Amino acid sequence: MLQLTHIEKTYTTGEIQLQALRDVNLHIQAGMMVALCGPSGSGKSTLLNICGLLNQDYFGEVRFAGELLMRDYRQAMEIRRTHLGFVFQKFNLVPVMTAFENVAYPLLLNGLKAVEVKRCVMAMLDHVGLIKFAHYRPDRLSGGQQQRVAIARALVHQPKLVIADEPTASLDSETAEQIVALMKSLGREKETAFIVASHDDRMTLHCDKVIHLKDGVIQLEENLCAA
Amino acid sequence: MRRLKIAILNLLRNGRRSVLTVSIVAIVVMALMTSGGFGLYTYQSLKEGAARSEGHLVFARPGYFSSDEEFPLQNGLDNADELRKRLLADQGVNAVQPRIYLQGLISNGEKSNIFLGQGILASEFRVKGPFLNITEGDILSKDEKVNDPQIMLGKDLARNLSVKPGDYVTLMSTTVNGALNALDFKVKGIFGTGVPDMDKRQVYTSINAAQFLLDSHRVSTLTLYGYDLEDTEFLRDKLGQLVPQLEISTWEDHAFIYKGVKNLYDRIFGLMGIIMSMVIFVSLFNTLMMSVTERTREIGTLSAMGASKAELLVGFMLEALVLAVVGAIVGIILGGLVSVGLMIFDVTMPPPPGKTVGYPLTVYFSTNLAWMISVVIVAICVFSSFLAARKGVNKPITEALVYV
Repeated sequence: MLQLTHIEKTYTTGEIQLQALRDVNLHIQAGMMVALCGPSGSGKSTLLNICGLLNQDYFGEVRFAGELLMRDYRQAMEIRRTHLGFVFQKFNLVPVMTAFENVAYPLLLNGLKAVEVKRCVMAMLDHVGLIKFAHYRPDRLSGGQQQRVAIARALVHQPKLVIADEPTASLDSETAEQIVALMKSLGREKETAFIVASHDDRMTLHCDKVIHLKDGVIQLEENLCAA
Repeated sequence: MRRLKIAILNLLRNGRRSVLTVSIVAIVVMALMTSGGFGLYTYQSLKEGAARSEGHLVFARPGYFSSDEEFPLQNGLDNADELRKRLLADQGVNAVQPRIYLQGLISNGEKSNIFLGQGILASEFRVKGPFLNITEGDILSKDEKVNDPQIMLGKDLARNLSVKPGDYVTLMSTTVNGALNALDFKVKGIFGTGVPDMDKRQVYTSINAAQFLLDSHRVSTLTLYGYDLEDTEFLRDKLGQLVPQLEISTWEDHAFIYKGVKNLYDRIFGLMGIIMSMVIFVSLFNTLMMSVTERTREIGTLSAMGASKAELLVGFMLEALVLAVVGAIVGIILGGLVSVGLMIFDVTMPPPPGKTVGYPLTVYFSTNLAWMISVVIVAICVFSSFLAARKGVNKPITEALVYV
């Protein structure tokens, strides 16, 4: 579904050049949960940004659902809007929107009618166990609840791929376990692939594949059984 | 509605800053409404003053307005009474007043001075209303005796000649034949115009006495009063066909003070408007810039989810729109309160240059002006928000997401 071929990425600051990714090849299949692991500066975030079509300044080839990406702003925006979801370490919910409105946002971007939006959002909030909190703003929700809302927001429009950057890093262990389990079950149910950057072993244990990065190079690809 | 609600909620995130911005917009709108309203009042007053003084239309022999006369009434009208009747027959005409403009020397027997005079009908005072401040005596009476003509003098001229109502003065002027003629007049009243130069020279006498002094049956002009200032052009076209042999000028052709003041005020208020607009622009730009900077990460998140730059820009522009509309409404209300307040509490302005009396400060409340100011202010606010937000939404998403 997502295929990266010979990806190279170099950051330039003044006269200093830093190669963040070197000849990275990656293939993510539908419904697969992939973990990106590695120390700070290994290139996890850079790779995640390229997978999420957030950064198109690279060398190499990226294909999404067989389509070659042309580094075009509109093409990338359309794919992100319809086929991608995002989960962030700090949840990144819009503070002035309620849980309902936050989850509804991707559907509204996709032009769904109000009735359909309401049905989908309530179903999704029910899935993540937050239907009672639909009209709460993020500041009235706990960290775990906020991350559940973020996951609901990432999955509500049934994307093909969810990019998750350290989704459990800001959570306590019990909540983190719940969040990982939730992501896994929803991913399976909706056949959504996940690419997760994480240091958290609990996260990687749930993944189908773990990719170890070091100095911008894929050191090891582990194929694991689903937990 | 959803976007509007989100915009309002975003503004309430930093309520104090939003209130401050709304206050700035409101103060600017109020200032523009007040100064603009004062300008409108001034224009209207000067227009009405000019039309009252000169008449809505002035009929004269061709060339009267453009050439100098070699002798008195050279370009005067011969058949004034007949012309007057024809003009008065039109339903849109309120009054037609003949006038004779004359000049010469005025003497009390011991001392002489230059005068500028107008020969008028006694009904001039009724038609024009209270345009003179009668300080002593009375206005010219319509039952003036032929052998005892009356005159009204400007107060400084009367003081200079040491005369009071009931005294006699002699006017000396050149007749239409070039001879010198003199006539004694009984001082009927003394007036002040508010303009010192006029008070030193101006006299009014009856049209018959002026014709007798100048030895002519002509009048200088026929001054026509309609019912509404706005009908002037219509009347000009209509009556021009009735008396095609005459040249017609409008009040505006003689309203030099009105045109001069309007020209000056337009520039002053225009400059003030530009400065105020810049204040609004900078204020809104600063507010939105802070807001955009604070919400950089949020911009990154929404962009990552597929929100277009245009959608994000619209959000910020909607916030500016809310600030501008609320500020404009508050400003218009404040401007209205100033107008009403000045109607209740008398504030007198000092006399303008060349005048001796002040005038009441009045500020018109104009809905057209309110609309115009509001539209301009809203446009400036939305434009400044566009510029402020553009930088934020153009930031690379990866940078925006890690912005602290």
